[in-house]
Amino acid sequence: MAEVGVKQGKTDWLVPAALLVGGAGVAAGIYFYMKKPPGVDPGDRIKAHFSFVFRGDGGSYILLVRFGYHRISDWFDPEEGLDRYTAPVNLPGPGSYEFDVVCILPDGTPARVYDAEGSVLSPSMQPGQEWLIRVFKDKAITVR
Amino acid sequence: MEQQQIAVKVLRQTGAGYYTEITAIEAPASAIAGSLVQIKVTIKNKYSSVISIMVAGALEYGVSPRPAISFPNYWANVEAGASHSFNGSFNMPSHSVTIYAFSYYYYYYGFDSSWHTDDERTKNVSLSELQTQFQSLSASYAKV
Repeated sequence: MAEVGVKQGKTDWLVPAALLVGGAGVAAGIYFYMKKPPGVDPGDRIKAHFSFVFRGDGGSYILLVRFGYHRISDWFDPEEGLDRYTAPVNLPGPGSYEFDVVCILPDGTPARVYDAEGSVLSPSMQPGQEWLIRVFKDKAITVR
Repeated sequence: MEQQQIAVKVLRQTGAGYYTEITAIEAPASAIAGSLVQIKVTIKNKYSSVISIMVAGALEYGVSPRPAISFPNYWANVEAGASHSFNGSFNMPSHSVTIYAFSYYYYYYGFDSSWHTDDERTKNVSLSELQTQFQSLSASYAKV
């Protein structure tokens, strides 16, 4: 006695699986190729946001930002070309102040992690050699 | 202790800066009494080949013997034309001070070998209340 029906054959998954894996690999490759590591590029602008309390009578001061390497015991070695971001500010009297100093990273800045030094100077002081008060931020920026 | 003896000894001399030159003393313009003051003395090798350079320092503010400035790493071999920075520190007294920094080069000829003083540079650190006018300084950094 004969029966009529559909032949139950095995499905060949090899080709779809290979296409799937290959496609995923290509997609991952494109993703990692296009994706940049976190950080900033030479030419980018960095905003250094200063915040402090001033209890003096008022006067003109200089805000200075330097990027480089914060050594132990608060010694700081600036990177050449990243050591002269300044902004003059006028403080009319006692109070809390906030300022932004915009720093443009020059072309050719070596790709690495930089610490930062923010300081306040009086106008007669030599930047980098004298300061009234300063603060460090380790691993402040990553240049890629 | 050896550094202190050297510093006090050469305060009576005038360095000529024949082989070395103190190009900079980095220090705050003012400091609070009792605070630890960090300084950096940069010395350049003016000789045509590598030489050993040593730094020493002392404070002048009317006391005798003059207190020495501590330099944890007080000597280095420096290539021709290169500069080396020595980090030092001292506790700010209740007076304004003058930092005296001295450079030495290592000389040897036959059985004679010793450090010779060479250059001298000074910098003032005043006891100022101005520094206390700035408080709670913070700085953050972000890409614009």
